[in-house]
Amino acid sequence: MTKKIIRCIYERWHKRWIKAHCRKFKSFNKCLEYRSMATLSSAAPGGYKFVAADCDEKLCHRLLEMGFVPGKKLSVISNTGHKGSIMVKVKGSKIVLSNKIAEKILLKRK
Amino acid sequence: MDAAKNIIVSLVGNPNSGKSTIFNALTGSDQHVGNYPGITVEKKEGLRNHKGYNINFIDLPGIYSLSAYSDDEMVTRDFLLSEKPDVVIYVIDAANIERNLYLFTQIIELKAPVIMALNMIDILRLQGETVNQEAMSELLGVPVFGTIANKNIGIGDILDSVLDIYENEKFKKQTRAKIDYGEVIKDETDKLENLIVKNSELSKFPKNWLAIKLLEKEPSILKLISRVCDITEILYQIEKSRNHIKEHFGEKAETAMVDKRYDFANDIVKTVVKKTEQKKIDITEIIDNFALNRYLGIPIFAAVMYIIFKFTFTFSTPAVNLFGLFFEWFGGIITGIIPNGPVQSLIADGILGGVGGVLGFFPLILFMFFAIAFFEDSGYIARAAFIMDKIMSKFGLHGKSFLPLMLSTNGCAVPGILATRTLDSKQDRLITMFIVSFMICGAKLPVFALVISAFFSVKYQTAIMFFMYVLSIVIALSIAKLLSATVLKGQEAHFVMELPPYHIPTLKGLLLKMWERGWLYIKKAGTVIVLISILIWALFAYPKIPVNKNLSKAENMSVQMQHSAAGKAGKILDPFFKPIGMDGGRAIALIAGFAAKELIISTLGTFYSIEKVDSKIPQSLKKKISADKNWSPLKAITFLIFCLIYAPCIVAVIVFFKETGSSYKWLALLVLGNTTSAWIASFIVFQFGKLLKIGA
Repeated sequence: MTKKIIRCIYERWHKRWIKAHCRKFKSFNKCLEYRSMATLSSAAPGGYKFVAADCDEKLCHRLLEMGFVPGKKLSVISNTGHKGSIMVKVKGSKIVLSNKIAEKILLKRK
Repeated sequence: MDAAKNIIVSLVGNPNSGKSTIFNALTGSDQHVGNYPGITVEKKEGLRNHKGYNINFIDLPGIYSLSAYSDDEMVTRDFLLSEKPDVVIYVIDAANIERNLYLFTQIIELKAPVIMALNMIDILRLQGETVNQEAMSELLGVPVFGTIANKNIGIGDILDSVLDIYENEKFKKQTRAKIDYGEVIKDETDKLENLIVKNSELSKFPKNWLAIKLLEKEPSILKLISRVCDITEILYQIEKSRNHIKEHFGEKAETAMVDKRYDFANDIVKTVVKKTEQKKIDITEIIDNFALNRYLGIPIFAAVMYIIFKFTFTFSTPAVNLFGLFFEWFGGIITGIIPNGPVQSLIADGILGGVGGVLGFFPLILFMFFAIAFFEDSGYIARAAFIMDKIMSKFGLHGKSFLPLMLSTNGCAVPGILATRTLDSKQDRLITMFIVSFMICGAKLPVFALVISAFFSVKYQTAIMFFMYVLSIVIALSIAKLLSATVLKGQEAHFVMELPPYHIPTLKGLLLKMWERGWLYIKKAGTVIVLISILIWALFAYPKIPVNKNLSKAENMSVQMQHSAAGKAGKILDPFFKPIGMDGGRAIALIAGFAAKELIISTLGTFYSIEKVDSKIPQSLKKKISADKNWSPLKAITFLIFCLIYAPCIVAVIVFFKETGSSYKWLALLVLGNTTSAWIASFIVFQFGKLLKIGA
């Protein structure tokens, strides 16, 4: 009987915990935030490390050669929100990217 | 001149590294511009005589790498591989050595003799840093020269060094820097190299370079070698090597290799660049704080555009008037020399009338190009594209699309279409080229000015003109939206762009750029315009009818008009133009406008039997039109709307056709599609206006 009660209480709390946890991971961005990562489109100005870009081969290569090398530093200078563009500094030069590309670039906070 | 004394030197470097400034300093004004066959990449060549040698400089396009993902990179790579220039001058922006060295790591793998020009070394000093050039030269194994190209400093050293390398074949003895890719990658490239050496066809390429490119699995290289030999064995080895590298580094081979190249560049920078003092003020940062400000950005952009227009129109007006006077004077001389008859009429009315109209705008175009070259060379144009991208992207356009649109507003659609070459994606280019034709160009402007001033009171004229400009932009943007949502759907616009530091442009560079583009305009427009003007003239002048002595000269002309081929065509087309409220005269004018929009006014002028029509808005023509019972304000507006939308002039169409890669589909859409929609739009406006009795 006591076992049943304990189990009941445990399950109830377990469910609540899952619910709370799910809320935390409700969106992709929240999940990233939890791992101290961010997409470039949602990154606030500051220093980051480049992680990866999810795009077609041509653009990937171009980004790579512009200095977006995994694990290397880059700093976000300005981010004009949802529909604007993002300006970053990579290897000493300023580069602007449109939001569409920035959404596909993953950064890690330093 | 001894044939052996010709040296071919090519300039390679990143965009914005000041390569063109060095090229201008090296060659002077003896330059020609052409295109590489089949693609729209500019090829610039310049000659220089130095100490008895003929040095032929070739300016290759500015690129970030040799990976051949774009036409520019392909051209550079093919040139370096197949033409084998005697010397390569590698231009580096001294203020940004690390990024610029990346391409260098690929150039030295090509085994070409290289000289490095460390350009804009004065800006580096402003930033409070110095470069140890000897150490850099030692580390890289190539001669390094500091230059300030816009002040001609260091150019002589480069010329001497070119001769030195050519004469003594010194570079063969150089121990050139090698990028340390690490043992794992080195083992794999060695394996590939062994396979390459076995194949006689492949060993004509630099084998180390080819092995590296194969390991990166670059599509263009694979295609290239699959054409010359059987590659199954090599492909197998590539896959094996790449898997091995992936296992070892946990990332793709190309990523690992780019990483190593940047490490190499970073090491060099760490050893040769010394910070001597605290960083002084960075001018670029200060300007960008304003120019790219969220609130100030667009007002500043608008101000810059206003300055460009103001500059163009204020300074070119005297020159345009002078050109007009010249053609008038020249026409007078022609009529004096050649006896009255068809030949005189052909030259004076046909050729001079048509060509003069176009060349009359030449000073305006030159000034416009000068102003634009200034903002291009100073580095503002990249910021403008950045600012406009937010607005343009809503209509499925690219930030850089604004430049062609700007060029054709009050300018000409031809340079506008040519300017779309700066766009990377084919979709963006097509859309931009297409909508460029809707802008009110320098030739449509007088038509609008004439018709509006004839039918509307002074109070409303500016408002209506402004409305027409707004309408043209609205039409252009909605067509862009429509195209990007339907025909050219799916491909999203990539906007990745470097913002170069600001520079003060050199006058020489600006003048050269201006002349280059201006000449292109004359060449492309001039030839076609001559032919079309003759054709139009013939249509109006033939078949001839005998002059009736009882009528005045003007009345005779009017009778001749109605009997000419054009007049008859106008009559046949009458039922077609009736529903949109136009009679034969306007119909012919609009058809002539297809040849060149300038011809709309001159055709109307001929039709209304005006003895003298000059390029300025003729007062008498205005009066005649406003007195004509066949016109009404509603008909005038319909006429202008038709003018705005229908097919662009033949020169623009031809350039469009060439630039789209000779696509008949797009040609048809531009000519027939636009004309049809112009008719529909005019029909709606006219019929609704008639129904509601507005201005009828």
